[in-house]
Formats: sequence, C-alpha cells, structure tokens
Amino acid sequence: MTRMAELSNKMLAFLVIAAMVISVFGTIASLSKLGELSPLVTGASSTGIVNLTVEKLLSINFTFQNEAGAKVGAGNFSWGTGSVTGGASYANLSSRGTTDNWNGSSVTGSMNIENTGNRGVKLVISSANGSAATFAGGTAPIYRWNFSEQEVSSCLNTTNSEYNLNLTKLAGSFWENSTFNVNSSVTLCGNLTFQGAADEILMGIYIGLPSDSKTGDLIDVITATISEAT
Amino acid sequence: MRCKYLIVLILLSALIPSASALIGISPTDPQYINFQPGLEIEYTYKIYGATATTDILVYSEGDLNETITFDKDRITSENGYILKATLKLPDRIEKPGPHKLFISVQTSPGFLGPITPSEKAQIPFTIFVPYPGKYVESHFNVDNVNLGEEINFIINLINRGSQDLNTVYSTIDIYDSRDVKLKTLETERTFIKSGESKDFLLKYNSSNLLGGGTYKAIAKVHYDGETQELEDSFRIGTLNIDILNHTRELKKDTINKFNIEIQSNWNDIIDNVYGKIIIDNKQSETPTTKLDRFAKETLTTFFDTAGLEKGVHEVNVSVFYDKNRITSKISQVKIVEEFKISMTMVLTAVIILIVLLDIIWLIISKRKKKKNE
Repeated sequence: MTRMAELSNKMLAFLVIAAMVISVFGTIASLSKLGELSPLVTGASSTGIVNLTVEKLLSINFTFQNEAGAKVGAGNFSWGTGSVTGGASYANLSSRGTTDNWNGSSVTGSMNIENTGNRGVKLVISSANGSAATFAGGTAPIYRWNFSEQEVSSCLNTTNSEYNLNLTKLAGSFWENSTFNVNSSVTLCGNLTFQGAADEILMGIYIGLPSDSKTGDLIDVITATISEAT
Repeated sequence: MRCKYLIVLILLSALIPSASALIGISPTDPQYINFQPGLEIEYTYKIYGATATTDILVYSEGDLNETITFDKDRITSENGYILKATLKLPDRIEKPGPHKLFISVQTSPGFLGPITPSEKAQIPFTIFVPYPGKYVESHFNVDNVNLGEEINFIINLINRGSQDLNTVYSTIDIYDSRDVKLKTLETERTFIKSGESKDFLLKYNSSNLLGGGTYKAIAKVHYDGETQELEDSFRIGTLNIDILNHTRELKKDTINKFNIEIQSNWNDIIDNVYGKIIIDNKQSETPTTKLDRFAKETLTTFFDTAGLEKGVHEVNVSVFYDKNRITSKISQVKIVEEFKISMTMVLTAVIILIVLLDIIWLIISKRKKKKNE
C-alpha cells in the first residue's frame, strides 16, 4: 500500500511538470496562432477615419438690402424713367429714398457686400463710368457712393494692402461720414474679413442730376473685385 | 390631395434660381513663378455662382495676360463649375522684373439697370523675369524679444538675376541707441542659383547686449563682390512699466478726473495693471486692465479734493502690475480754486451799484440845488 502511494506521488509530480510544460507550449502556440489570425479579426476593434479637405475659398455676395436691414436678393439702383421737374437745376436722387425734383420712382435701400468665403479679401470697388461727367453729363453733375460697415470691424487694413479711402468713421455711420465722388477704382478694404459677425459692407448712391444732363438710359456697372488679402 | 400639390410646389420652388448674386473661386493662393522659357503649368479651379440667370465670364487681365488660356470663357449653370487654366510662357520676355496678371471671374448680370452691381474674384499671378547679370532681392527682419531671450536675425535672399551667385554671405552689425557698434555677426557662405532663394538665420542672446532698450541692426549682404545694406530695429523688453505723465492740476472741492499715462517695456502682455494716487493721505485707485506689448495706455481714476487746501501738493503715483511689481513716482499736483459767480456775489454787486447810483444822484441833486440858490 505504501509502495503504491510512493509510486503514485512520483507519478503525480511527473504529471504536474508535464502539464506545466504542455500549458506553456500551448499558450505560446495559441498566441502565435492569434497573431496569424489578427488581420482577419480587425473588424472586432475597427478604427473609423474621417477624412475631409477644406479648400480656401474666395467668395463675395452683392445683394440689395432694404432700409429694415433685410437682404432681398439681387437688384440694382433704379430710379425709373423721369426728368428734372419744376424748372429746378438739379434733381437729387439718393438710395435713401430721396427724390427731389424728380418725377420717376425712388430707391430706398443699399447694396450689401458680404464676404462669404473663408479668407480675408482685398476689396476694390470700380465704376465702369468712373465719374459723374461720364455717367450723367451736363453742368456740374454729382455721382457719389457711400460706404459704411454693416458689421463693425469688417473693413480692415493690412501692411501690404492699405485702403485708399478714409474709412475711419465707417462704423454705424451710414450716409453721414463716408461719401465719396465715384472714381474709376478705389481699394475699399485691405482686408474685408470673413468672420460671421464682421464681414459686411454697405454701399449707397447719391446722384445730383443737372437739368441739362444726357438723356436716354444712364447706365453704370459697379464691380466689387476681391483677391486674397496679403 | 392638396398636400401632394403643396409638396410639388415646394419642390418646384427649390428649382427657381436664387435671386442673390454671388461669386466664388477655389483655391485662392496667389501664384509666384520664376520665368523659364516655354514653361507650361495647368491649374484647376472651382467656380461658384453661375445660375440660370447669371453666367460667369472668365478672362485674364494685366501684364502678359495672353500667357494664360482657359478651357472655357464662360461658366453657365449647365457647363459645370470646373475651370482649367493653362499658363504657357513664351521663349523670351524682354522686360525683366515682376509681371503681374490675374485670372478673373466675373458675374454677368442677366439684365442691366441704371446702376447694376457685379461681382468679380481674382487670382493674382506674378511672373519674375530675371534681371540681366547679378541681382539680389533681400529682406531683413528682427523681432522684439525680452531680456534673456534669443534674438533672431532673419535675412531672406532671392536671386532675381540671370546669373548664379557663387559666394553669398551676410554680416550683421548691432548698434545701441547712440549708434555705438556692440557686436558683429556673420553667416556662412553659400551659393544661390538664379531664381532660387536662401534664408539666413542668426541668433544672439539678448543678455549679451546692454539690457532693455531699442537697438539697431544693419545687415550687409555680400554677393560676388557686390554689397547691399538693410536696416531694422528691435527692442529688448524688461518687465517694467514707466509712468510717462499724469494730471497736473485739480480743482478744489470737486471730484476730478486723474489720468496716468504709462508705457510697457515688456514684449508680452502684462496683466493686472492698475494705478493708485495718494495726495495728503487721500487715495484713489484706477480699474485693473492689461497692457499690450510695449503699449502706451492711460489709466484713469477720480479724485475728490474736498478738504484739501489750494496750492501745490505732493502726489505719490504708483502703478501695480504682474502680481507684485510696482513703479512709483513722487510728483506734484496743483489744486486750484475755481472762480464762481454766486447769487450772493451778484446781489451784493447790485446793492453796491444802487448805493453808488444813489450817492451820485445825491451829489448831482445837491449841486443843482446850489446852482439854483
């Protein structure tokens, strides 16, 4: 019985050692097998990749804005068909609704110039006619544009691109402070910014139409030109 | 059934072109090109804004505008928004120097009114034609630093000449505010091919100069026996604030505005800046503010002179900043009495005037009486 017990202990020790060796080799074999399989099971812990490329965009929007501040889409300044009335030497027409000595229609509103891109832009305004004399003719005609910031700090300067109109009093001063004779071309903003709350300029028009002006259709195209601010 | 019609109407309204006039172009980068005979580059742009009522005109303008051609001269709502532009340089351009031209895209309004707006976006192209021989375009920049920091002297050189430059290097002389030369630095020597550029960066620790203040740096660019000189100035900042000036006169028995003009000597924002004034144990503080790098600012407080005698008083003006730093100045302020015409004074003057008139009237009456007698 004792002999049986001694044999049994030896056998047990052998079996324990054999089991440990098999276990170690088994673990190694399992791990290496998992390594081989890993490409097949990546979906079990997949990584989502979001890929998008944001492009630089220069974009500008020129829309008609009414006195209440609402943008009402594309439009132009049109005082209709009429003439200087009552023997007056001038008709005064402004985009703020003024129509003195004029029997055509009126314009109430302004042009809103908005930077709708994602870059600051240099903004140049140009007139195809370039002067009151070319546009209207007659004795001492007046053709002026007025600029103001619809949103404060929209129109900034850069070292390389300074504006050449005195716009220091733009903010909140529509019509009062920043009225200029129409030129063929002026740099309005060295940097019209693109931030949502600071990217809009307003433009109004004033015409002093002399009684001896040209007749027929008086036409001008005002172009807002943008390029990336540097 | 009505609901179905409504949906159809909504869908139809979505097809109506937007009344808003817009133009957009992408990408936006200005292009800088060194002239090479016959060089040909193709560019692709996305143009936005064409609608059923508004086309977009495509053209080039400026110097050498004929060197750019397009796969279409008009973008409509039907022909897609991708524009291909090809720049093809000729074999030779006579005039050396920069030539500027633009790719322009412009809305073409469907109708013309008396004053019609139009939108235009431009991509500028600059083509540099080498000057004959050796010609270097150079830029020099030194930024302000704080004491103890490295000063970076950056010289950018572009070989705008038709010849390669074999030996190019630069020296930088640093001067103090009295034009005394303090240090000379020198770059390595290098070779610059025609049309290529090279940046030299030299570093020098500001601790090795004379402390805070304004300095001048003159860079001399040497290239194959010729020299160009460039100048820039820089400041070394120290963490302190100067009191430049303050209000010198106060009115007696009034709450007065008191201004303190200060200037930062630090090349960074200084937080928690406020001023305090003390006159004869009465004191007042300004609100706290922050001061931009090397900025001048006016701190304002209000001071009540009630109880202070008129005349010259000693004032202690202090500016506190950066937690525990103080700049103080003992100075003088004059308290003056304002001349005011009170009702009592007016009434007194009227009474005196009446008395005087009475006396004159009495004298005249007595004289007349004497004459009559």
